[in-house]
Amino acid sequence: MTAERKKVSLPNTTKCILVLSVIAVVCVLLLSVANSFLKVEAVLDKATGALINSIAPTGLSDDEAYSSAKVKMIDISKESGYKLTSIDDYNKKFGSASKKVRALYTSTDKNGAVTYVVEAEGKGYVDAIVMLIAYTSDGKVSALVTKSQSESYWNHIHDLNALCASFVGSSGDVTVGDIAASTGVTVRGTLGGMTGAVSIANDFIARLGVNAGAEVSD
Amino acid sequence: MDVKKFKETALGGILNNPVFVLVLGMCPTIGMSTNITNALGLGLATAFVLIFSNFFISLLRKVIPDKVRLPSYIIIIATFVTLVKMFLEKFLPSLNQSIGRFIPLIVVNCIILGRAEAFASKNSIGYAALDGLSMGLGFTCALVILGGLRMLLIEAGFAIFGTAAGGFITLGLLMALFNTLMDIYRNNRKKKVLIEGGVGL
Repeated sequence: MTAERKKVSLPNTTKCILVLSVIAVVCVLLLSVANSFLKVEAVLDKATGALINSIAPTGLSDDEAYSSAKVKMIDISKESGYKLTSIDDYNKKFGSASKKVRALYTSTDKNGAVTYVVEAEGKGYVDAIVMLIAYTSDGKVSALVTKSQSESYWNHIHDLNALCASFVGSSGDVTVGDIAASTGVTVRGTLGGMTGAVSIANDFIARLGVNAGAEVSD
Repeated sequence: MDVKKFKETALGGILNNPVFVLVLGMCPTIGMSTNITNALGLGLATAFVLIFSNFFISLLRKVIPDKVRLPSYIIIIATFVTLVKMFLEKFLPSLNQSIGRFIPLIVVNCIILGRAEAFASKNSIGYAALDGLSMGLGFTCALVILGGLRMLLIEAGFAIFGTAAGGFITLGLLMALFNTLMDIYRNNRKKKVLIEGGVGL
């Protein structure tokens, strides 16, 4: 009787595992095909242009800065003078599932000075926190702003300006402990996303090999 | 085609409304019904997942062993929820910003799993898809009505209706109204059937 039960249950168990595996594989294949069409790519739209203009002022209004290309997106794979070949290659080598660089922008002011702005994301408590970080000529953070986030406790941060200001002047790796200690912010998941984004942006700008903020003659 | 079954399935979203009658999917109903745009977006996202998950679960109903039916359903439902999330991130980023947090929760929405278990796994793909469409649209309409009513009450100065407590109060009152109207409708139909000597559907 026991041997019969074992005989009956083994094919059933095998069938269960097989069906579940096939369904999982088919679903994964469907999602990977969909991902190639639905992959989100960073674009310079008016809203992003306005945010960049707020942290790296061009001296013009947001609309004028956007329409006159004073704020523009840089494709480093198509331009020379950079030590990195492309953002995708950089992310493959130095990025991870929890943090990556999304785009590089420049903002040119009335005197022709160019400020580099990096768009980077870090995994927060709920989902990715996308930040725009502007750099001084010596590669330190001059200003930053949050482009998008969906954190549960974002509204629990009492002074967001003070939190952003705590990153100014930083370069290299920034830890949650550093920021928590200086600001008293305790939402560690959210802080982890912000510090991840800033850290990878700092590393990116250091490896890019540009003299951020240098004057460019027209 | 069984006309009676077709009518019952097609009208299921009204007669057995998932929000007002079956009381399913309460989490997104309360969370996303403060704004008509968010309510409509989440409702349509849920309807999309419901239609396609019902379709594929019905298609595979004779293949999936009983022991692994729930994990199989969850995998299929999660696939379509992921597709919805990817679509919103790509094409509707502002809506994704508002309702993105609730999209992954569609996987564990009782409506989806409930209809998969109760209907899609026991009926043909046509009826399963129709049930998904009917229930999905019923859910969307319920969310939009609730969202619209709460918006009006909030703008009229009753801030409590912007909170979860106000949401529950509004939902409860709407449920009472809906079920009362359904009772009146059913009673009238019974009377009509009796008057006509039992000739009806």
